[in-house]
Amino acid sequence: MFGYLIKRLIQMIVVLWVVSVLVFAMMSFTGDPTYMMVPLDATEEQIAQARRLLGLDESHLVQYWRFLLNVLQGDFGRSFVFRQPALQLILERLPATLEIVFLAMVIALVVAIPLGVYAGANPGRPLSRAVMAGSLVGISLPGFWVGMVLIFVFAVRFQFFPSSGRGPTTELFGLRVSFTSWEGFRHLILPAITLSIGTLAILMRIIRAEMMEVMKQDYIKFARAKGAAQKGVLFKHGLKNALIPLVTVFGLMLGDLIAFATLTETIFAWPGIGKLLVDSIYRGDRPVIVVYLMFVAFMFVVVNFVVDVLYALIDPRIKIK
Amino acid sequence: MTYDTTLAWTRRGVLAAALAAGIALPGAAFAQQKAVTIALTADAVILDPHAANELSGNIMFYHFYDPLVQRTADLKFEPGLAESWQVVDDTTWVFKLRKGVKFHNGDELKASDVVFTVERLKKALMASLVANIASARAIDDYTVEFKTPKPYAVLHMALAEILIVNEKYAKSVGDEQMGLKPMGTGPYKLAEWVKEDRIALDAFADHWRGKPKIDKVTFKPITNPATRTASLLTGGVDVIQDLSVRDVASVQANNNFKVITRPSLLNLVIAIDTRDKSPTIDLPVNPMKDRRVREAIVRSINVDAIRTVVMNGFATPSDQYVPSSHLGYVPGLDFRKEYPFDLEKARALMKEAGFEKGFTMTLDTTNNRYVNDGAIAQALAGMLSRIGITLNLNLMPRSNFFGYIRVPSDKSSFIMSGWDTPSGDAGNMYSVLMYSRNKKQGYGQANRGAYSNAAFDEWIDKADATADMAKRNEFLQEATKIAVKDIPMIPIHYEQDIYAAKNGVTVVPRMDKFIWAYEMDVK
Amino acid sequence: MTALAQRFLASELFHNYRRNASAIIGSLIVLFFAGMITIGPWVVAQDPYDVAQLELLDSFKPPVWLEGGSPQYWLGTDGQGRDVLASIVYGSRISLFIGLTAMIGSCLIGTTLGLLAGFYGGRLDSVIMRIADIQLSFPSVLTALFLMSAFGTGVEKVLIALISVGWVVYARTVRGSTLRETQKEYIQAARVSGLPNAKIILRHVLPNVLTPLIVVATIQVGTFVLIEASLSFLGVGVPITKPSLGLLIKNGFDVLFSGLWWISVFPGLFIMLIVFGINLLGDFLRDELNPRLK
Repeated sequence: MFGYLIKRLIQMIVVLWVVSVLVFAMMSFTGDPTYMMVPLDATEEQIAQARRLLGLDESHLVQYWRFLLNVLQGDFGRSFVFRQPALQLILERLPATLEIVFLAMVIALVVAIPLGVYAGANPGRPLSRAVMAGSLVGISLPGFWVGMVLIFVFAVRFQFFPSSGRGPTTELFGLRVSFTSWEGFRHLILPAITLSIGTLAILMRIIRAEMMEVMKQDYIKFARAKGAAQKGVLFKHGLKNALIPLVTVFGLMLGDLIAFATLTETIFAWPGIGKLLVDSIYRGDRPVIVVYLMFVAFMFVVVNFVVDVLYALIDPRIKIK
Repeated sequence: MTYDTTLAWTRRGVLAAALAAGIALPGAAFAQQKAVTIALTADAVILDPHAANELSGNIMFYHFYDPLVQRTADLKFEPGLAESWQVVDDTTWVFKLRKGVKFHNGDELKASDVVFTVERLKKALMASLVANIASARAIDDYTVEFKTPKPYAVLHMALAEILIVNEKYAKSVGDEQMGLKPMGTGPYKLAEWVKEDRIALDAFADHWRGKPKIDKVTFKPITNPATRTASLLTGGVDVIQDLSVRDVASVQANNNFKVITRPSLLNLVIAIDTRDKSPTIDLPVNPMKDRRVREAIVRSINVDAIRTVVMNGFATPSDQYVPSSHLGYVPGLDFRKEYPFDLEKARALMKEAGFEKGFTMTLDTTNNRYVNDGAIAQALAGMLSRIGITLNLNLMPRSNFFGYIRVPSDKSSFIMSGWDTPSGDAGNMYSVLMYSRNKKQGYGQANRGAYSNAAFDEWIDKADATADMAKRNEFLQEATKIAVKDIPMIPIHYEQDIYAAKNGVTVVPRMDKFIWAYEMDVK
Repeated sequence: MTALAQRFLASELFHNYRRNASAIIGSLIVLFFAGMITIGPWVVAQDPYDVAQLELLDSFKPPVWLEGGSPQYWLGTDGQGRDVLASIVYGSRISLFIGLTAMIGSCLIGTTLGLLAGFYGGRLDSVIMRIADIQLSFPSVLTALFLMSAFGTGVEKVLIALISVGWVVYARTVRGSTLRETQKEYIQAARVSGLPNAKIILRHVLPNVLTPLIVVATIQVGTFVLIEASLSFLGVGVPITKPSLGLLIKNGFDVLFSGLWWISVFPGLFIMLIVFGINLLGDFLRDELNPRLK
């Protein structure tokens, strides 16, 4: 276990390091962000001064070296635009993103588990076929477009929900959250549904496949032969075993949700880290992009680690190595 | 939705104030509060007036801080923190500060704060603001002496963009906090800034101009134009910036709202390459070196069609490079009358110049930086194709654009961008955009077409050598005449600023686009 | 050729295909799009890229069945008088061109690397697989988004970004099958007998690892169409002079709030349709070719 931890930790550091190298290398392709910051009539001297202020006056290699040294001291650099620590900018916006990601996850699970289990247990039934067709449509939909259609129907036409933005926030355990008030929750609904579509469709298919696999197992057949009520069999034995593999896809699911949050947040003007990333890309704000990617990579590594441990705990057949 | 938020916030603010004062009169206090919520197109990124230059930030800066000389909505200049000034000699100016001006923290404004501001700016990102100030010196607590590196007749106009910070505060909190917690002499104090959600301001009761009429001002960033309109119509906000041209008719039709328009200072111009060989033109010689070709291009562009069709009527074709309010504008001279849209004449000029068959080149411009820039570029391509010029479009996000086109502009032949001269003086634009490159330090640094005309340069030199405004105006007018004849750049149009507001809210549209709550009122 | 065709018609695959409704629907959709991108430009009235053909006065016309619609523009027009249907035809060409080309590129590069890694093993193998691992720790949309933000817009840049995220899945699949294949005796024998490695790989290994790739490749075209649409929607995909379906949606986004829905809704429907068709086919192929994955 301890060895595993160390191995994982080293792996994580390597991943983060590679990410930082790649991001720095790639971003050197983009134009010099200084020109965006200075007035158009700035002279060479003024541009040089601005470059110095932004820490862009040295070669990319030196910039990277300095970045690494600072990271070792916990300083991840400052946004060119906001002139504030990039990590702080991300942490400030993180609660907003987590809110829609978690709600989307809940929606996906609540819808996908019963439908997937049903479709897996009763293949061939019309409803099962409909579920499968529906999930295929869900996978084929551009998520951002779904968001736009939802906005048009529910916000512009019928005005059930607000079209964009985040509702009023309150402080909860030091985090600014918006789901505590009805008004805030109303703002959450459309973005969360939009975000959940793709994950929901994939989950449904995974659960169905697992369920079909489980239904073929001897113990289910045995229980059925014993005459256990259909429902009891399904839920007691089948469901539990079908859901265990879900834990393993949790990491992937979270990754997808975070990635697609960039689009969802852009459409709904949701002030989370995804919109911050997209805005930073437009502004050429490299420090924020670097830290965003490192932060997301860090999150994935941690989540996958937790998933591995959980999986070993749930399923005794699996050994962590 | 937003309305509720504002209301809730206002109540809380009042309650807190009442509690602090130990009185329990929330009802009465609430009745007297005047509040307004204004939707902007974007959130400010940093509230340090010396560290950024983008519209949302600029709007905020003038609420928290004041300049020595104040620019009015019509681009007139009048005393601000300085109550008077005089020109001592060609390069020396003395400014008398107003007495008893209070910062938000109660400190009194002193000459040392002004000197500190200049020093701070010299090391800041916006150093170009003090490029024409050699030094500042406090003569006494209320007198500052400025030295300019050369005679500079419009120093007072340039000072309108320099916002005075508090020396003690800036030194004690540091640059990072200056960006988050502004503290100046301006009419409003920062109450709360929730990024990407709202910036809430409280009136500063001890403000030197007098207490603002509106007690609470909330700015909300709403990026999508249609959402902005919807927020106005549903009562979420009282005023919106940049009403989408598509929504103008529907808002106008509603009796509860009004639409306010004003031509802006942003002139959309195309820089023409005049070098011997042009980067994107595959010909041994650059056709546009020939003035006739430049004139043909101008005559092939139907500016009026761009205005009516692409801009839905919300643009003003530019008659010169600077608006009529500026020094250097020549009354009666009109680019559109000199070179009216005329395809026949344009083709004839191309033929005369020997380019009857036309040529191919690339237009570099932005996408979503100026109003409908992409559509304008496409329209230009269509128009130039009529005289045989094939225009390829290279549309870039602005993060790449300004680096890509910068002088020496060795990848560009034809560049469309906006130029905004809030200083009220053509000299700034001419010296930066049209003065010969590499001839004089601080001149021609954005001369993207490498235009060079000794006579033009000479008039600019003369203008910059006099401390007399009338003379400066005269010299700059001569330069304007040369430029209109030479066509180093094609002015297209001024964008139009469009605001919408609830009836009962007085909005003063400013030429510099800086919405200022101090000039507003609510019924 | 006819013999091959006959063999195919008699095959189990074709037999099952004929009895599988969703496979038939899927291929009909794909065929429809194939027709649309090949002959579509000659059918629609307008070339939306030719500025001279645009009539700015016809901008924002609704679809033909709504009030104010014009029979000239079945699905309405956008803000520059571009026929939405014509834009979709041309946009589909760009979207599918990108999807197909990027798939082919990914397949070639991924398969080559997978073969090399599986066949030679050792350091080459671990380097390639490490890179694949790191890349898989990021969702591909995010990686592509980041690459595009560094490159700037452009069709060829979108291709590079997609191939950069797309090769991994081939490399992994091919490496796995190659490892299994090289364990087999005939390959071992061939190696011992001194047959050049290149020959062994091309003659014996490659044909045996290809089948699972057909499924991956089919579905990937759909995935790429979606990723490209996402990138273009965010403004970092194709340039506005070459609008793909995703960019058409983006162009219609701002005016959607004003009730002008057709500019963005129709291109989205077409994306859904094509990806749905591809996925139907992919599902069928997976069930047939990789029964294990069923």
